[in-house]
Amino acid sequence: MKKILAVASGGGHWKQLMLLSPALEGCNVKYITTIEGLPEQEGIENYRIVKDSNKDEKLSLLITLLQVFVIVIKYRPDFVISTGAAPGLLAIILGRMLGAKTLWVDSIANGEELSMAGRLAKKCSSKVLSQWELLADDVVEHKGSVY
Amino acid sequence: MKVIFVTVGTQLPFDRLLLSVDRWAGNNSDTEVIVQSCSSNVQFENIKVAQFFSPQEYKKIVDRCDVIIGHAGMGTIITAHEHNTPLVIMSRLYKLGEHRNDHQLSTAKKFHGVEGVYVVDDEAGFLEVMGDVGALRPCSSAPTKDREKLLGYIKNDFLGMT
Repeated sequence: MKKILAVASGGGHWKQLMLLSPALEGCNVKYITTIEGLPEQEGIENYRIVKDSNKDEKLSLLITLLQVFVIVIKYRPDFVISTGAAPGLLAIILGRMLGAKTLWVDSIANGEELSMAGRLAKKCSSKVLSQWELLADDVVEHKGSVY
Repeated sequence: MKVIFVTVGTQLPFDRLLLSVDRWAGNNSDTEVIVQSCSSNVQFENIKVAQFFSPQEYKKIVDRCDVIIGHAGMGTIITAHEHNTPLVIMSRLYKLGEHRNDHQLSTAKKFHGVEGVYVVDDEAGFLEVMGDVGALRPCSSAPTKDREKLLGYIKNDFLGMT
């Protein structure tokens, strides 16, 4: 069975990942998020909570990196999918380094330009999607949106 | 009694919206108004606020409220759709120091005209929409065509499942 690591920070990123989760049915999926209580609400048992972080919090970012690193090394996913933000980008970078195929789905909240994490994902993810047609380019594709 | 839930997300305060709600609540004392304020320091006259709710508390409130009022954040917008609840949203503006950029304006634009979503620009617009709460129509939890397309791409093309 295909092993998928699906990652999203709490809030809107997580909500969007949940809307996409029906596409992962039939696979072995491990979820990562940043707020305790969110996976239980969806009846998800296979999950890990990591520290939330962003580019302005270097120490938090380092802790998140180490947490995600341990999860990726142990789980060895075939695929990594993220809807954002920083923890998801780290999972994609580390997953790709270990041979996983990776998908970044930029949040629907970014309609003017790709998120900063999304712009970094362009450099390291197997696939990058924007949920806005206007933001597609030679790397970024548009394949639909959650709304 | 109608129950109104107001939420501004988990990152930043949004006093412009909460002051509008406060004014409205002063003339609508027959309504229960539950407010999640993040880190606001304003002393409101007519509403009681909580900084945050746990995911469990949040869910309980959302399950029983008649209208959701919020910033134009995707978490709030998706929640209203999941629960088939009418939604009133005001965008945070960069020029007023309400967010790090103006991405909420593009989110609001995307949802402008969508059934059950009422986009307001300011207090006047807010009071107009909230003038007749009973007339607000609910959001729909039905999956959209665009979502089916994205799910299909992930399943068939990205994961290669048949």
